[in-house]
Amino acid sequence: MMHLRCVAAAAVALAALLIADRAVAQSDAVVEGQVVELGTRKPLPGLPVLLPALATETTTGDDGRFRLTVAANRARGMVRLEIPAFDHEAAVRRVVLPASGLVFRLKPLPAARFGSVVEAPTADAARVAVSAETARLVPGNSGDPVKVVEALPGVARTGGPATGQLVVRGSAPGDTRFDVDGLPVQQLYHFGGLYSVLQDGWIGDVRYRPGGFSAEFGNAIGGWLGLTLAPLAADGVHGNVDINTYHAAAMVTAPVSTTWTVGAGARRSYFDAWVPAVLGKAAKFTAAPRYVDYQLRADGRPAPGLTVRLLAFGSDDELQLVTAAPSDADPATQGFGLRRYFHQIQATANWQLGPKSSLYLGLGTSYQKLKLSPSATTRFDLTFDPVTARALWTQVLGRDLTLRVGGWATAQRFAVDARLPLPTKEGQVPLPLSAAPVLSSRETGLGGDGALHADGRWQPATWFDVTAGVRAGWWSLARGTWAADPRLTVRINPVPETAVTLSAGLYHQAPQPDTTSEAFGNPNLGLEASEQYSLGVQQRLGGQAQLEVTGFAKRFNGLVVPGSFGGPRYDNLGSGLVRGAELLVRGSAGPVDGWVSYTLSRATRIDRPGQPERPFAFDQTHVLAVVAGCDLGSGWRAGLRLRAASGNPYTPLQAAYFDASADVTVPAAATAPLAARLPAFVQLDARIDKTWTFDLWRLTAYLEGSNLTNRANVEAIGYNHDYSQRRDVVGLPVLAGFGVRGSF
Amino acid sequence: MRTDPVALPSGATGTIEVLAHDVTVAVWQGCATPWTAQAEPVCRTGAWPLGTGTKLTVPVPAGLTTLHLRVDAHGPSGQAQSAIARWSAQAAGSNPGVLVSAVAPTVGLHEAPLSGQLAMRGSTPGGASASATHTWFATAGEFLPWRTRGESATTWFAPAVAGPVTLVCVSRDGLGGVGWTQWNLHVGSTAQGVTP
Repeated sequence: MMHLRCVAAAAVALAALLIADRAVAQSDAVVEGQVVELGTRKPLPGLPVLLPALATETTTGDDGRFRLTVAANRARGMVRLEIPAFDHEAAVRRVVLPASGLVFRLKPLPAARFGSVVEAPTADAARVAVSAETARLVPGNSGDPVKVVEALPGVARTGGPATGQLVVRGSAPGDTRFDVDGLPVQQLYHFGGLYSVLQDGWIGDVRYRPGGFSAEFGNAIGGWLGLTLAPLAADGVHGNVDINTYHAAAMVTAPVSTTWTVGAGARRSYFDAWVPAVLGKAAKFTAAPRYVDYQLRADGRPAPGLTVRLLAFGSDDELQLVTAAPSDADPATQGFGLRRYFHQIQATANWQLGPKSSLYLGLGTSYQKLKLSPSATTRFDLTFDPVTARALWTQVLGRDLTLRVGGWATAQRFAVDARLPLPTKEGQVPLPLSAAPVLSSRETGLGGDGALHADGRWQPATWFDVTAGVRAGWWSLARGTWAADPRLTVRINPVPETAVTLSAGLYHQAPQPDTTSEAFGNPNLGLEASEQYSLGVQQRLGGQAQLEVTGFAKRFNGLVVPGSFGGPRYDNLGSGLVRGAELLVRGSAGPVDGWVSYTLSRATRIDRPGQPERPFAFDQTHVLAVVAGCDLGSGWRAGLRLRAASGNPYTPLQAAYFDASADVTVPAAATAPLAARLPAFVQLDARIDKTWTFDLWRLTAYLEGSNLTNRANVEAIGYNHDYSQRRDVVGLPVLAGFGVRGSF
Repeated sequence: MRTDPVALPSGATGTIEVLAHDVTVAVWQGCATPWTAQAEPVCRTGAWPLGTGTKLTVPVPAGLTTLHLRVDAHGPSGQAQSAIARWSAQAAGSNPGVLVSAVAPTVGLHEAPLSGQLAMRGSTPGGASASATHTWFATAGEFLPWRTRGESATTWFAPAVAGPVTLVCVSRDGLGGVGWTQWNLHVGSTAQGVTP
């Protein structure tokens, strides 16, 4: 009986619902549509959609869609629909009720395009994040967002033979590591530092840590540069085509299911089409200079809270040339050959396990190949294939405490076939290839390292937090060695606009591989270490402006240096000291945005105990970068970049003697190592962009001028064949570059 | 430095000759290990004197695989220059002869002695021509380029002042062999032409 009563009640309720729904459908009006960004078709979530006359409103969903229901007694005629302005221009349209399939394409305001990457305080003492969108437009970068680091504090300017190397707070180039989405990469730039190996469209933002980084990162005593992948848009097919002075590139992404989006891209330079023609009389290219890279991606959300990113990418650089005549300075130098390529695959997963717990997992491997032929009789052939796995678990333990625990493990095989002189180390006088003793070696092996790290962030008050951590690392050097690196960061916010950050930490890294070679180095070398200290103040200046001032000090111990006569080729007796201050002012006002970066520092080294202190080879007392851009309206944007830096130290040379067997004059130092200094570097670059925005795509054309003042910046000191005359090597003169980029 | 014989038999006697112009003193030393590259060559194991002069005969100590030579030359006005060379007991190459295989026939010194050009080309016998390098010297005038490879040509531009000139081509086979040839000629209206 009870059962029959329940069935009857349910039937009555269902009938009532059907009648009510039919009544709404017959009399209420629905207004529905989607709000996207003009040109990019990117859905705009969270925007209010208003019908002021009817006092009705809603907000757009994650897919930019909205739906408004107007009561039957008011659902007649034409009404005014408004979408107020925030990061985009406001939209106002009169619509006839009911209305469906409406599409609003909103034009982005400059503030939306050039907004800074907003980050919560992290365990790193200093971290600068720049969105790829902002970085791409910096003059002098040729559209490559990674090169924005050249204009950030703490980064020395590198040019000439060191172009493309990253020198951070007085550390050697090899002391700074790179990652993509948290997994290490071995090569950041194509040859000459022209472009990074990842197309800019894949990059979300560039995260630069000049020092004082948390226990999460290690095996680096300098800085850390990370590239975060941009999430692939799941709302439709997107892509871009980029054609400029140096290369042509294309990429496309498309959703393939409700949870997965895939993408592919490739890029190829076309130097080989014109460089041989320009240099045809001086050199014959057996392989004209070119670079190629490719990327394959897949982003997925296979489960709630779980994001998976798969990336396969690679790069191939090649250059082979034979000069028409032997070099004046060194007859052994009759050409040069370079081939460098890699293929890397990696997978990362970010899993939000709960409201207070998350897990990051990463696994990547690569095949790396480097072949050099400095002369007809010398060669260097290196193959290695590192595999890296890492994990990071984050747990909020209470209102005040967050704990992070993780680990890294890397293993790699390597094979070297080398017939080379010993490489010239910092402060040494380079011997001509003809006169240098040549060593031959074939080595294979297996190496690796691993680390466990943990840090806790305790925030007992809103104005104070402290992060303490430790990283315990192990390296498979000849003896097997380990180190424990404690790190501490304290952040104080006396007022909301001001933050003071103090940090101290210990950092270790393995020696450079060539120095631990059986044939070329000393396999018994130990770790290199640095102690890093910093005190920084961040001050919001109102509006979009922010000022950061950081003082830092770094002490190196156990640096690998050439050994004394009769001893091993290298030992760990070097030390060094860096001290300095950095200033970064960022801001935007109206159509103008930009930043000023200035570093004052002094970096020195002591090669062996008891020897005098000497300057670090990239010691630059002053490094200044001013970057400014201005939206001129109607899609026009103009930008300037000014860079100025003290010249690098160098060692003046003089003829020592003539090597009659090699037909070459051998130089000797005319002063103490690195006792002289190159003239200061100053360069002004400019860029102008014009963007045409259509409903479904955008077209941007740009013109870039480098070294507008045509200043002859001295990049290196050169000499004639017998060192009787100085012949400076100067940088590039005024150059123009251009490009066209279409995106949809 | 030219050595004879090219391969250095241990315990034998050989001759060393230095190509020198306007040199008054040449002091020779030997070393069992390579001269260390410093402000001046240093023999870590201790050098021993070999004699003086631009050409001398030396007994080679027994047991050496390579004799590392050093010569310190002084000019008449006191200028000094040091040079080193290696004299190997197992020289892989040969001491090539040097030929001038081509002299520009129409732009000779006879027609335009004070502003003339002379095309020259080095070659070495024994199949090492392609890899050999040739270094060209002139006591007056200028070679452009002054270093060539294989059988590439160079051009000597005569000086604007009349007088005797010595042209020298030093050839190296890339394996340790060194040889040279000299030509004496006279620049001017009464040019004598090239005399190897």
